[in-house]
Amino acid sequence: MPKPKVAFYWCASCGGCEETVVDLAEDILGVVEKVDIVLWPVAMDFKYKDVAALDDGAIFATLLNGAIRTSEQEELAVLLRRKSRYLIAYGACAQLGGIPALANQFSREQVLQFNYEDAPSVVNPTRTRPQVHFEEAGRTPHLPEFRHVVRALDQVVDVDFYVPGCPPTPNLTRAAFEALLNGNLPPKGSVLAPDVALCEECTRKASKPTNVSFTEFKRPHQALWDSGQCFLAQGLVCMGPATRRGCGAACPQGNMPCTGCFGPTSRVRDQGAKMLSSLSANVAARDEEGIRRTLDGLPDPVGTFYRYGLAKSLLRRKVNLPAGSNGH
Amino acid sequence: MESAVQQTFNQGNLRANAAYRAARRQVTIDPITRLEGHGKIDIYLDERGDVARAYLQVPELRGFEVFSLGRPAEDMPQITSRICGVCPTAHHMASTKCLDDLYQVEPTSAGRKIRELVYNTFVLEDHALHFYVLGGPDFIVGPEAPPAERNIVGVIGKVGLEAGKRVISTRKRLRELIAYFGGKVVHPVLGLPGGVSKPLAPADLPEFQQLAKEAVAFAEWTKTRSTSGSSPPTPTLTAPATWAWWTRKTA
Repeated sequence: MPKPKVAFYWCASCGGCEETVVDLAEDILGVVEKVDIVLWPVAMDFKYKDVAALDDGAIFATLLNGAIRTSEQEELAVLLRRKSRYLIAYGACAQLGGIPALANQFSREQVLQFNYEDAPSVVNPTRTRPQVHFEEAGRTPHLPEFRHVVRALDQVVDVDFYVPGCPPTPNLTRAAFEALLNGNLPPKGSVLAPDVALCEECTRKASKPTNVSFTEFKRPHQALWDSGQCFLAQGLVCMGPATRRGCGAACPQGNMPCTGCFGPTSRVRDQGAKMLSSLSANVAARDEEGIRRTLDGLPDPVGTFYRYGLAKSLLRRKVNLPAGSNGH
Repeated sequence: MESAVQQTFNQGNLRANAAYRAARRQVTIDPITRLEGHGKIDIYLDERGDVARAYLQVPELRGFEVFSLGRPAEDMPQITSRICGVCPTAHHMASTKCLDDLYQVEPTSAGRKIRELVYNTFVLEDHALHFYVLGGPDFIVGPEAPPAERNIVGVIGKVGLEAGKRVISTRKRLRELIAYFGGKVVHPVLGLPGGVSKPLAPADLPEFQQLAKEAVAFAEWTKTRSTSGSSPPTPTLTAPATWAWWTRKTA
């Protein structure tokens, strides 16, 4: 009985999801015994042409992390979708757009202009930009197209399952592998993590306020935080109530608030809007000036409430930014 | 398309591409592997088969420099760590030191020591990753080895299963130490201007010290004896670390 084929691939990613798979530690030897890894650029020398040579559907499962920003990433997503029985969006970037999706607040031109011309450390007197087609003495290397919009994986191809987190935890990853290899899979489209808010597993749960009234919002560097008390009770924004559990409340264990990387539960359409509306409803002030002063404690709403989920939010990107000819 | 037909088509397609490249005397490495990041190399050969020109292409851009604009300064250690998930601690610490400079504060003595402990721990486990998993295969297994062996499994074949298990268990404990202070090891959260978010409980110190000694001993063995056929030094810490809540298996 041949071993099932498994592929790992990364798009607009940082490699942290790869590290999480490696953090299965001794369990990874068991995984390697049970499956045949056919693509894993961080650790193995298989090339794209090796994947293209496989039959369609020959890969049992592909765990794809990273957001989609370039035409090459679109092509690999489409190729791996075709070659895989199950395509899993692994990690916050593939599921929601992740931190790279914060670029959806800016135009493509702003990014290229700064990175290739205006940045203080750039030396580029000819103002050369990356070119999709380049020819020199008959040689034609090429680069992919850099799109106008960052997208999550399911905004490009059909996705079977999601493993959330920035990055996911080794425990969730182990559970996902076991579910796949044993055939114990939930309905297609499921997120492979509990469908409950983070507060449920946070050690500070007992002090979570039922009625909270904000006269101000503090920022993480502005006080010494009590290591046992709910951050919201201390006046600090914690995304826990709007975020799916599954990480063991890792960041509160590090004495810092949750920033929302597991995304929302299934009952919430837009994670940032949910948290924004909940906090806004609890602002103590009733006058314009008081409200404005309170909200001064939230200088960056997009970065706070949509840090990982901008691509999958209702608005997806800052409005009125240009788009490409295919909409992206 | 029927599977046999699809397979024939795929094979034919690939042969045609390879023949085209050979006729054009072009070798393409796509993607480059065993590193963090994306890259492609196109090598063009002349009539004698010597390299006429080679192009390294980096087909990715995320734009951290621009999408960090307008963010609160104290968020930057956690945003910049997403530049790289293999070395997030490096970005996190550099960013934290920028916060010290921005607020014109010196870290507290304990804060500084905790930062150094976390950072040195990261350097050790990161270098172990590079030696055994990323760059090591090129030196230990060799560039002439078949592609399917140029990886950690091939390295274990050369240094022995015991050493392989020790790499895995040492890195696991070191990364749990980082998670103790940083909440999680990939994209830790400890950095604040003037210090860190979490103290070290004195009761946990002896275990950290023992772990440090054993990790350094393992690094020494890696450097001097790993390809000689000898076994790595035996660890005394065998039970799960008392603080290892992050990787503990939940019911």
